[in-house]
Amino acid sequence: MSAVTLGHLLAQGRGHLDAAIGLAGTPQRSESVVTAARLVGQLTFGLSRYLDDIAPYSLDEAITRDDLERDARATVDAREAMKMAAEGLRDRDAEHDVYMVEPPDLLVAHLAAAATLLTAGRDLLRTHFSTDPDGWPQRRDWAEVITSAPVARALLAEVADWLRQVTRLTGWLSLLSAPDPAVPASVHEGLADAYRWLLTGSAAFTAGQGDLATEADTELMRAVPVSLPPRRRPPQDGETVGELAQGVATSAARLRIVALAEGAEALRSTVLTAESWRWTATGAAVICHLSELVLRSLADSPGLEVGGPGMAGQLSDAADAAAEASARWRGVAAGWNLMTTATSGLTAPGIADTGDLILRLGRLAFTDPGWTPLRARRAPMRDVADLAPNTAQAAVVVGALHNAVDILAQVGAADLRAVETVIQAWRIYMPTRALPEYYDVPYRYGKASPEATADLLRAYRAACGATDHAVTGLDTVAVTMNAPTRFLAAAKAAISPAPSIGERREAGPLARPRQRSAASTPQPSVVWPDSVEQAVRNTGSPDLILQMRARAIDKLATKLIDEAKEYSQDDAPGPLRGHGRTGPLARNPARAAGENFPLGPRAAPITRPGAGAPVRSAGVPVHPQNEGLRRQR
Amino acid sequence: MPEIENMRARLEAASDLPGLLAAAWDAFSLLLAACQDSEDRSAELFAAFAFSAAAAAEGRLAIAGAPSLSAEPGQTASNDVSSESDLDKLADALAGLAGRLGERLLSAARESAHRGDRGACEHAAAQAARVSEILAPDWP
Repeated sequence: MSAVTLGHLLAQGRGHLDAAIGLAGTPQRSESVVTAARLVGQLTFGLSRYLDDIAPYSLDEAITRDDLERDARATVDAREAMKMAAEGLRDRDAEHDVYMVEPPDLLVAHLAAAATLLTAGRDLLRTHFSTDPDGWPQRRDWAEVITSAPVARALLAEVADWLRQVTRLTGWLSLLSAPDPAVPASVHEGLADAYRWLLTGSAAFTAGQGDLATEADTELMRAVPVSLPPRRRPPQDGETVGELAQGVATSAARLRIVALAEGAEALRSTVLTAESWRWTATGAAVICHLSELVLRSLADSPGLEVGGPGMAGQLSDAADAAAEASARWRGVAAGWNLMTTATSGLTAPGIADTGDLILRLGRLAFTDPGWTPLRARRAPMRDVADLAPNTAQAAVVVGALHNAVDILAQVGAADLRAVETVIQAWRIYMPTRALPEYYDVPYRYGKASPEATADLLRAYRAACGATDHAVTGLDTVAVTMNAPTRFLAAAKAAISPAPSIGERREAGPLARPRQRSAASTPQPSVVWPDSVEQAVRNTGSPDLILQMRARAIDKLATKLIDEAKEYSQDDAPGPLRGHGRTGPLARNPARAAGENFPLGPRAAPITRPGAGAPVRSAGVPVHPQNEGLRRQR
Repeated sequence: MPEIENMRARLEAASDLPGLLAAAWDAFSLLLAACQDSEDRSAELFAAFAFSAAAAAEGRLAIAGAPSLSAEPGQTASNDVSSESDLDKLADALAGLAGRLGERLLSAARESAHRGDRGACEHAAAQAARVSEILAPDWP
């Protein structure tokens, strides 16, 4: 079974929503309408939560910040309108819901499933933004992809699409409820009110529409997997090519989490041993070697039209790159020949998964369905007609290799960083008898010589570079062959340093807060109304967005006045006291991560205070020292 | 393959622990070099030789931790076994050498009075057994 992706959940949810819409025009029981109304509230609220992540700005900010662009404001407006719609439907007493009736109520069943799957989708996204016990964001490998401009665009389009359907559904339910005396008036009014707000939200979306999501954006968004390690699947004898590829994907997903988890580098440098690093380097050499064999086999197969003209060349180039990477990893393994650490044993957390990868790639490459590296299991290479009898299966095979080499590149990079740390800490040793004679060491082991450790690091860098090159080759092949892993290339492109929409906008004049000129300073003669919302209503404007913003301004004013009162009563004023952004909002990881949605600059890496890198939280630049103060509060 | 035969003879002839450890160091060095040199000679046996080399390297480092091993560099014996054109014969010989090395080290571990020597011999014996297992011609 493949890993759950956002695409799986949203597609299933959308299927249920469409099925519910398909019931429009059919008679419904009053109880069904009442329950459906509540579920529409859940759905609407669920959709608004996606927008919370994409545009993590409060309505106050959307009004008062002048560095937000039009589409950011529109997204906030749409989100708030959706929350208004949900508000009147969700709070209703659920005791009369008709979930458990027999036969099952189709409308309710479909809506409940859609709401559950929609929520599950957002939960899936949030698995990439967990927090540590101190509340600090823990970004994982897909976090940058999720907050990239392409995925944000695709999510917005998805939400807008769902919103249109929910609006249609709400309109129908509102019509159904109007003449039905068994439907409480509050439900009918809630539906009518929600319909109005949903139309407003849809209009806000349309008005603020920026760049449209491309097909590639949507595909990337759908490919976002759940960031929970799937259960390990030890290889079984006789797995089919598809099962082998699936197993490789599982191991890669597990290793990705192991290699990229926050703190993994520190952990690797502390608990890993020379034996683990040597074994991993050896495994890397074997993985690249097996990849080379299979790629060459595909490239040399004239009977297999795997991707049209030029495909053989791409496969051949990828095979060459894999061979080079294999040779470099052998160099790393050899670099460890005479070096050791204070402890021994295969302690690397991903050893078993790397082992599974090797076994499965070997079973793809060789005829023995129970292949292992043992000489006793030596077997001839598989015939291409058996391995990849058609283009589709060839793509599956390439996907397996792509997954394996891609994760190898990431694990290799993590190992390089950890080894650098260990060398800097002088925790690498060599047997005294292997040290140069001028080393006078009265122990069995001495600190490794700087020449030896420098050679080791050079070998690692060369291996990592060669593996990256091999991954690039496989990216190309995967895209050309439409392999299941082509999203890996798309994910890299989405977070590559090439100018993204967010960055382009950051560089533009609109992203810079405009300086308030003396001429634009509000004149003291302005008379503020007691209630802005009331003042807007008094103008007779039917614009719900304006009313919503006005209400937000009133709330903000009240909050400001309260804070001012609190501040004036405080005997120990400080620069941070009474700061309204130090609570959970400022630490909300999704908010921090969402800062680089096309509406703002790309989020900088979030690091712990004192790490030296810039610290950024909720889009507010904070000096690490000050952030430390903030955390003590 | 005189290098491998000579090494087996040295192992058999070692009568005390320091002698055995010195021979074991050299035997692991031979296994390591032979396996690394053989990796490129067969696509089908690449993985077997690569993992054997890793185990041999670990075994040699384990021997280095034995207190009874002389700190002086050992004999400079030739580890070049590339003249053997039959890779299977070579693999058989290496598996045999590793198997015997493992047995001798395990036996030395049992007889050793020093905890450091015992631990080093046990760890090295396990690595030798691993090499033997990987390169054995038949399913164990």
